[in-house]
Amino acid sequence: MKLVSANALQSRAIEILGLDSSAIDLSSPEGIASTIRRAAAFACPCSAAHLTTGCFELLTLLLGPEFRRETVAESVEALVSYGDLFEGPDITGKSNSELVYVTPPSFVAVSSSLVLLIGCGRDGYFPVPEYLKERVEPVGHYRRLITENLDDTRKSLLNAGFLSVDVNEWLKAPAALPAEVHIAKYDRLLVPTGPVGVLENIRILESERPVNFYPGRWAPLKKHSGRFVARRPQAYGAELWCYLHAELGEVRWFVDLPRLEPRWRGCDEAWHLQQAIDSFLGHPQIFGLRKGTVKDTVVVDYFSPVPNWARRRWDYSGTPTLPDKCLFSYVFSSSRVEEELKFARERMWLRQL
Amino acid sequence: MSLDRWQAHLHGHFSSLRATRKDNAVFALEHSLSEEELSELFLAVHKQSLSGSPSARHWLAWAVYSAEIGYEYSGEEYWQTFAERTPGWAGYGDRNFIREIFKRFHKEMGGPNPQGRWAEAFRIICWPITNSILPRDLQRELAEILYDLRDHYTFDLLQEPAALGEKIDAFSWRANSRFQHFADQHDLVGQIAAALLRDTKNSDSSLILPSTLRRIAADLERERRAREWLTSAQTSAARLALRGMSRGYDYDEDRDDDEVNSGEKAERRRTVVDLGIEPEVFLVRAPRNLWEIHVRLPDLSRLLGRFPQFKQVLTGERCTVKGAKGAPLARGFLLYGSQEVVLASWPGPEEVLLKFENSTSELDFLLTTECLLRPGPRWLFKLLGDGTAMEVKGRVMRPGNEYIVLSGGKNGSEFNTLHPQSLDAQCEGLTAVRLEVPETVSAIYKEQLSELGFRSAGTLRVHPVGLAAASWDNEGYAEWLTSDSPLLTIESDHELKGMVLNLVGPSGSRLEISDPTPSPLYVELGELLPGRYNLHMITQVSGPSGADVIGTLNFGIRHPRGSQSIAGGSNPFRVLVSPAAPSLEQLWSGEARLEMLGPQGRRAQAKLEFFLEERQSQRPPVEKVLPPVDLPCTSDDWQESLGSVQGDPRVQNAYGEAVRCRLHIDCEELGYFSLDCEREFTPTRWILKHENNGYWLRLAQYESSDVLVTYFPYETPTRFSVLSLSGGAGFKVPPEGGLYLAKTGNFLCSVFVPGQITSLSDLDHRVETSVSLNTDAEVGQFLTILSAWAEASNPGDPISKMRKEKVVSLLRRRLLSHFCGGDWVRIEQKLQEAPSVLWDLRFAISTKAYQARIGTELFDRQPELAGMNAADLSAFLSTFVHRELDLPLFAKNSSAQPMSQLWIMELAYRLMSCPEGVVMWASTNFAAGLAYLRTNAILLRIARYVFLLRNARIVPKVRRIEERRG
Repeated sequence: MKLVSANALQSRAIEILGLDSSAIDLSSPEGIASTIRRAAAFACPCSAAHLTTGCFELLTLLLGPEFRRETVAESVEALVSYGDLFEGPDITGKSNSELVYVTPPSFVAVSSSLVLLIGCGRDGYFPVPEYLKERVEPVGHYRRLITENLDDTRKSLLNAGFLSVDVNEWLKAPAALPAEVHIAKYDRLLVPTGPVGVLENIRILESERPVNFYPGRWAPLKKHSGRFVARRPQAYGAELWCYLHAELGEVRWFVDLPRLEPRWRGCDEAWHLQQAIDSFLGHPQIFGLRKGTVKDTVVVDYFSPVPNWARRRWDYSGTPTLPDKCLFSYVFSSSRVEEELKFARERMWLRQL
Repeated sequence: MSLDRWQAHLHGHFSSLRATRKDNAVFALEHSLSEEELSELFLAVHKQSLSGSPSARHWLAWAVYSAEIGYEYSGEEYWQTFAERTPGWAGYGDRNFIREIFKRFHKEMGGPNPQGRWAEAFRIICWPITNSILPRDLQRELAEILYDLRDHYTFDLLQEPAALGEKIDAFSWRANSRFQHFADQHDLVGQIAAALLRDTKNSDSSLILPSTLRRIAADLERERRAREWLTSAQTSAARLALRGMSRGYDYDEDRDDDEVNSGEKAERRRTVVDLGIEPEVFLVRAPRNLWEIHVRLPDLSRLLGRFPQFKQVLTGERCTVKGAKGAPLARGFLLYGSQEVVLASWPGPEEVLLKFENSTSELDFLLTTECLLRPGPRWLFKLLGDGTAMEVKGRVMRPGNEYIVLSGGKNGSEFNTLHPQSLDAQCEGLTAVRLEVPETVSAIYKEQLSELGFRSAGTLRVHPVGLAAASWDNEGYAEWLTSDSPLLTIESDHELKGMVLNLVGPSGSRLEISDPTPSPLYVELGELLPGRYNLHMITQVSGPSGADVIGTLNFGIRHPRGSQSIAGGSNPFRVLVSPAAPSLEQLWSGEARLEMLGPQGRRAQAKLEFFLEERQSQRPPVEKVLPPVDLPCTSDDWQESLGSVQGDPRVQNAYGEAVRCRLHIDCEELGYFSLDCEREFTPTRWILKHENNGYWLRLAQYESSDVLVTYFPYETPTRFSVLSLSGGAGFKVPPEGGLYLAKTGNFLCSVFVPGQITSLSDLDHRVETSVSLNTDAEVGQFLTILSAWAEASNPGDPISKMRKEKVVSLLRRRLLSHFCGGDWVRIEQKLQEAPSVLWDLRFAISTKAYQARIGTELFDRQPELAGMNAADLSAFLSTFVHRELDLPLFAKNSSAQPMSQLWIMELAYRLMSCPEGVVMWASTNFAAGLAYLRTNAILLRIARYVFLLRNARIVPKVRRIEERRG
């Protein structure tokens, strides 16, 4: 037992997490993600809010008051999108809560030399074979493994108990559709089905508000008329995502999300629908481009959240980087960026700033 | 070298080995021969086996030879392998010779004497296999168990092979049946394990010859997982050997109790405290501002390591959670990680939270002392932001926080001065209030909290920092892993003059901080040995008062959890299996219940892989993919999915031949579950094969005892004819099918083969069950036949299952008719449609007017009877019939021993509830018990009535209507 400085303690925590304390500290995306994964291995299943609070308390005592809870929340969201964590209803059926679970140790071979590692083992133990450990590289919220011999690596990981996830399944994204066709699928669900009861404290995403500041687009439903992506409170747990038709502030019809994509989270389906709505109304959601600090790289800044299938794709095709006056950012090689922008335009109706 | 010279060489070797081996056995595998020497010995043995019968002059050479074949043994037919490898054995071989030489080895060289269930069933092959120390296929199992046990090693344990063997036996509940049989022999298993746990490179020969041990270790190391398990287990053991002392204990002084803290019980209680099996209570907000009380029950596999004697109950009995909603937990569920239940009522202070059916008083005591909810009358929960509230075990309330207090009080008026908000706790016997502690806590407020048994937090705050603890309740209770170095921060909102940190536990230490001014302080506790700790913080406040402030952080250190084969409770895909480690037969017959939990909208895909006998291991496993199932998947859904492939002859044949089946369930990226189900290890087994539009049967014999084979036609299932089977050859089953029963000693093995269906009339055969039951012997034989039908394996297709169930049902009815009469049976048959006839049936217990109240009283006690376990029920029945009936006593002994009053009532109940297992259960006492019950048949009718009452789902209403009329 010994008294240590804050820096020494931080280094020790990083070492126990299996990271390089000379390169990474606890405030880095890699350090935060590792902290969350370890905490999740013990605390899950639990709500995302509980996990966020627990990790924030662990870190803020060390990193000081300038460290923000939102940073942890964004990292939890990134881990859910990537697949280290899974968010869904309580599988035991004992409550109506949305809970976060950890996924088992898994891998996705995205190319002949690149393997992405996913999940957490029991008690936070990640069973990467010893000889592969030095090739594991934490990048932002995820871990990747550079390999020279994919077959050997695959065998070693399978022997160690990893689950192989098919890259096409992992990256499965919806087909490209015109925005109006996508919206029409949801409009068809908004049909009179009898009285909806009194819905109070509804928050809507106001399509007319600027698309470059996501938090500012939320507003309470007052005298609004029209169709909106919204969140409605429930007696217990986080607000539910829904799509509703309102007349002068009164909800006539609504449908909870996810509805057409039951394997998605409610937020993923809602964000995708909002992307279509914004595009249809003539002010599509946007991305910005800037030069990367490394030669032949481009940084893409995103201003609104995107469904997790898009984040997953960019996790492997690019590298998450610190956002600059936006919600999140990825670095892509110059040769790759055009393909990713095309993906963003076709599947999410995004446009360049 | 000739066999004579080999004999002389081995005699010298084993004689000197015996002289160095004190109490421990010498094994034939410890021959110390090199591979080349062994090949030469084999050649010499083969030369003799080709020319004539084995000679007793060369008994040691044959013993080594047989043990070597045993080392390669993996559950197949030993003698068939033996004959294949030993030229001439089929003509000159003598199995009894092998047994005799090993008996001699036991007598003259101190060889092992096989004991336990498996040695009784396999009277000859148990010798060469036991002498092979650890056959290859059991090595992985042992390595995994040694790894799982690493938390439980103590210096003393490693010196006591029998005690170590007992622990290994307890942890073998998840292993295959061969290993479980092997683990029965505590002395031998303990000796082998203790040797393996020592450094195999530098061991002495007191347990096992180093060269033999290195050979086993080298075989183990061929598989990476087994090597890692063994290395980790050795590391734990080596640490203890270095320290030369056992672990110390430190436990919560607050919970001392004079009555339980004395003697052996106190020691056990301390051990249980050390295991950390206290349930966790937390609250979950439900709709309409209601709060549900959830209890996370502990993983009781931790108990097995310390108390191996509880294996039977923990793995084989259902568990009722006092006050919980829903059915009892299935067998073995509490060994699969922690489980969650919702309480409908709060257990009373004297009530046991967990109650296993057929538990022991020792286990009940331990569960009563530690695995219980904390004593009331109030419980404090801190509200978290996500609609849950976590119990604050230290009862400390912090300014500015919100809490829920549960109270045994009726209306919560005791909280009135604290401005409570009433809540509905959804739990009978409790009230709940919500309290908001002000930012500034006045002295009066503190006093009011104190009166309620709570205290306001001091100004010293300890918190894990930087690295998540495995468990943390926010207020002074934590858990870390042995691979961690706990990191803490200590904050104070006022100036301190000094501080002492005193860590009490297995790795105790002390830290004096003369200048604690920079706040917060950061402390690294270092790597700690597993166990329980108290970190006492003693500070001195600056200023005039200068008073010491004492705070304590109570925490545990444990090893990371072991094997990865079971999907943990943290994953979004979980599979629950009961019993915990089902055999292949249990999986196939549906006796093993399996449920899958996962997100709705997701599907899981199961695959069966049948591994054929090891001798044919060059043949790849037969695979069958089951139809995908939607999640969540209930036990019935699973049976439907499994049943959909059981009619496939290819699958039936694979099942018939397989020694092992791997069930693999895949749930996309959410996880997978893998379970190996081994064939039950029995002296004989029927192997059924579907070929050319008919069935072929072969009786595989794993032991050489005499076998009696009988055949029972489907249409007359109680009439049999004796069959003569030549050698191990199979035969074609006649088109009409039927039941084949092989009897070896006390062991029965039966298979039902359905008849061929060539026309619609084949679907509706009449089954004739008339049989004489006039004598005890006839009843005994009838029960054996019923048992053979009930336990018979079958191809698995719906027709086979339906026909077998029909016969079993008719035979049971025949027995019931004999003991209770035809009218009784007719009334019972109406029960399904009209539960109220249960009320009418009470008159059938006795026709005597003065005994009419018997049925009425039993009927009135239906809820009580339904909640009783087997022991309580026997006690109740015994007392009840003694009070109500004037019958001659069966025995004067009233204890729970065979041939006592309790025993005879249990026999009656078993005979009337599950008659097929009763002969085996009563063993040699059956005849005497049956004779008594046949003379006093009212006991059987009472037992049957009680059985019906216990299983009635709906309480008949007729009685109440009659009462109203009256």
